[in-house]
Amino acid sequence: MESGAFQDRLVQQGDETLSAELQGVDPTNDLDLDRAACVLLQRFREHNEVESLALLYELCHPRLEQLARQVVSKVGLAADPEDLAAGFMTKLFTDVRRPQAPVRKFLGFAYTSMKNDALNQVRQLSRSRKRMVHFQQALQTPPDPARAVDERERTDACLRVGLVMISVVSRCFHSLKERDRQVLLAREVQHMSYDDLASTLSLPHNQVGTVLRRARQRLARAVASILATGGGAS
Amino acid sequence: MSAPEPHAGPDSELLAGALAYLSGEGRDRTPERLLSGLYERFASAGQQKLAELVYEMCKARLNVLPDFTARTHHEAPPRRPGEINRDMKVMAESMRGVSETVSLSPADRPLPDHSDEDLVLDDVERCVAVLATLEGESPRQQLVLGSLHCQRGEPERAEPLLRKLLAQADSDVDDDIDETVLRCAHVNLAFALHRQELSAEALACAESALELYPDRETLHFTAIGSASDLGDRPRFEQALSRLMALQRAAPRALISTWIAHDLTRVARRVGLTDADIARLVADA
Repeated sequence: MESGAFQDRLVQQGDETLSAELQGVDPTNDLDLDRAACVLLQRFREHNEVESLALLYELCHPRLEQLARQVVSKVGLAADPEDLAAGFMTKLFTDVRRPQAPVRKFLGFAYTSMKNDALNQVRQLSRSRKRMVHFQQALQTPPDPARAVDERERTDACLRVGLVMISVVSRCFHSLKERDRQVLLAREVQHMSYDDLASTLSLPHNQVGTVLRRARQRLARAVASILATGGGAS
Repeated sequence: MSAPEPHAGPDSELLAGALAYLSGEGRDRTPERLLSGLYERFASAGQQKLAELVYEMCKARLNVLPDFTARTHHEAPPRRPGEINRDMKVMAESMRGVSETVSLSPADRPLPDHSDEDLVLDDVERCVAVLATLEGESPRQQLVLGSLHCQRGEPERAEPLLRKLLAQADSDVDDDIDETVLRCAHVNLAFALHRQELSAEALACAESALELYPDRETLHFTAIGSASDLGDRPRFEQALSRLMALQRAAPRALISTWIAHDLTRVARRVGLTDADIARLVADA
């Protein structure tokens, strides 16, 4: 809402005291917004006039939505910022505690309140997701003991194969030439860039890829030959 | 940013609408639309707030009954009726201009004479009716109605309400029914059965509820009372020892009061001597 439009709305309200209190409010200025919000919110709380709260929403809506967008992005909530801002106003409406101290920094208060609301929504979503998972699990057929045994056996077999592979790769790696071991270690274990590899191994930059590929091929051939002869069985 | 042009097709209109919404360009953002949306929210939230206050008022009014106070565990104790009344007035005033005026009478009337139980219960009944106009036969409205029936000495009317509420909770996948309401429904159902002298059913109901809520002292009272009515000494002693264990772990005034006023009476019915009772209490 622009300054002129806001002053027009005040005139429409027909409340001279309010118009005087809020004269010169610039809706694009946060300090002005805080000042106007303090007056309007206090008015709502003293007289339970919903019109004051509505005017406050009209005045602050763009700024509130901007804050809500920041909150949504910070908290990682898939929610509509406009919804969050309107939810904050609704909370003000249903807060029946009286009397209450004036809110001097309305925008800061709004930001904190919307952030807490968003965090609560995130927690609720997480709880309801968990409940849904439990419910779906409850609908599943009971576990088949034979299948569980099969799965355990498969896991054990995978583990054995993994151990054999580690042992074979280790033997083959140590049987490689010093140069191949260095280049594989630097790239695969230490995750060095091609530039660093070139300077560490004193290689021309354009040869790093070739040297690395050949080292990998030699390691792969050695592993394949051991596995083909059954030399890796333990 | 403009919304991407969707492909023409049967769902293109729907897709265009969705994309426009996501890009924020398809919304009606006129001040009139914003305000009417806000007022709708206010009306719905205000109605809900009023219902919460009337529910609290029902509890506060039941709470003035001496028997109710002595035997009821409150998960959330109600505030004083005057405070609730003040909040109801604020909310009702704020609702003017937002929605149709909701008549809160007689929920906002001063409390009747505490000493006249019938007057208090009539008043609670009217508050429950106001709650029904605000939110229909909601779980908590049914719960408080069940409490009212029990206090009126009509536990047979409370039983079906509470059974229906618990059955509804069993089929409630979304867990929309508040856990506190469910807990109270279990406790009250056992009590309603006990009051009907359906002791075996009451004992079974209390014991199964105790598996879910082992620290609800009122469930223990019902289990002990029902075992006593059945003359079942082993189950009585078992139930009593569970209560005493609870009291040892964290002493509570409600249990102390029960020990002082009710224990001897129910223990004698199962043949316990004064020495037995003294031994059991000394352990606690």
